[in-house]
Amino acid sequence: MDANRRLDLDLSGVGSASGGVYEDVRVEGVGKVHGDIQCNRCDVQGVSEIAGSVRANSVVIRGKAKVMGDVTADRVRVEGMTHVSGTCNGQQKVDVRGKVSIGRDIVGDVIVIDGMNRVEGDCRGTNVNIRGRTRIAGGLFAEDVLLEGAATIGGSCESETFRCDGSFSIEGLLNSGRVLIRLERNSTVTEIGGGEIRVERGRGSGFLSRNRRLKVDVIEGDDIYLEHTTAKIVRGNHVTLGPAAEVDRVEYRSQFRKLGGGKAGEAKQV
Amino acid sequence: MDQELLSKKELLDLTGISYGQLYRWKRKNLIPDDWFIRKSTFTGQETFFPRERMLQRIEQIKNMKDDLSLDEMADVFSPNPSDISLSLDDVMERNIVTNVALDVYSGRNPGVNRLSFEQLVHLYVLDVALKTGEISVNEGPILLETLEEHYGAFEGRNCGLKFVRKLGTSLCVLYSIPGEVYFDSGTKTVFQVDLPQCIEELKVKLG
Repeated sequence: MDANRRLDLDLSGVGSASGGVYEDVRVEGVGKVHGDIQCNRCDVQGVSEIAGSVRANSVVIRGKAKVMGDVTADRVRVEGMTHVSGTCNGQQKVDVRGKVSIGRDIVGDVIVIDGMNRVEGDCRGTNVNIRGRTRIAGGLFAEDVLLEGAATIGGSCESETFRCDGSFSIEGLLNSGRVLIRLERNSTVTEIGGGEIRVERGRGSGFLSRNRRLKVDVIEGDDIYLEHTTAKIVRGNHVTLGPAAEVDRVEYRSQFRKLGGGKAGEAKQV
Repeated sequence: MDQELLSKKELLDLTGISYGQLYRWKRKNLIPDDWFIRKSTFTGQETFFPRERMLQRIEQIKNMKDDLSLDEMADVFSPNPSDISLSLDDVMERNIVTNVALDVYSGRNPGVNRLSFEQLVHLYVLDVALKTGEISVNEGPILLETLEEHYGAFEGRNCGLKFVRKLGTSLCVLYSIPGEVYFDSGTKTVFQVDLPQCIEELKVKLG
């Protein structure tokens, strides 16, 4: 037998197989694989279960599948009502869509999360795009973050740029070089710190967009422009309060302006 | 440990850095998270820093900024070992430690010619201790033995070293930071150092 040629694992219908090293793996139906899998391509569908970790070049998991361990590949795609107990690691890209739950972290270069997904750990990537109603229990760490849905982040969010065209709730600190928030619905965060911080009202209309304010305790940055924001303390170099901005206390260095009805309880040059 | 605190506002005034820079450095782990001390004041929550360490760190970052990228600096400040190794001759030539420390080290580890980063740390701590004048050359091996046998157990977590003496008997203790150690009343601490700080200094010297 040719030792270099790895076999395919093709499991469909009701059945089980053992883990190991394969060329391509396809599991469909009610299949179960015992143990870890290492292969080139891994395609899991249906109510299948892999009772171990998967390491492959590309991985697609769909349906109501379950992976008890980690998923590691260049490209990972997880869809449907799938559950991965471990870490989802895609060197190039991680694509999570549907109603997926990930037991630990998501790590990758490009990360797209779309749907009603849950991540119990952190999300770490270069480019992270979150759509839908995503909940991340840990922190979000990336170069560029784009939020287009309703994201809940249990920890802190750290990135070079942070853009939001939706709404969010961040329990920790939002720390970014450039923050651009276009509010579509109510959002909350404990603290924002960074260089350039801009909060605007989004363009969307309709019933849900009638309520849109950002609630935050402290904002600290060099250039700050705020609309539709309630804050306790805003500290910065240039601070501008625009329409519907209400701040208890502003501490500024060089410039403070109020436009279109922005309100400050007290403003002090420091 | 009682330390003088510095408010964020004072820090920006004293050093001339902007919020953007401060937050970027925090993001890049150039300033450890546990240096951000949150306290309630009459205007609400404010952040304070350990005064001396923070001012020193900002000065270091400003000085290194032109030569190193932020990621390279993060490496220097991280307590994790780097993969540098040096021969004894290099150590001597580059004046990383005094010859006295080198002699003590070679006396305990005869035949060792090439030092890994971890061994360099042991040697460097020994040198710092000897330079204070509080530790004698005869006590050097006690310190080395403690580091060589137990430093590995901390696996990169921050730890400190204390050298104590009671009734002429010397003792060396390693403990994790943050942590506290107390001794009975007759004991005198003659030397103490935080390992992360030593590692930083050493990395700058090796740089």
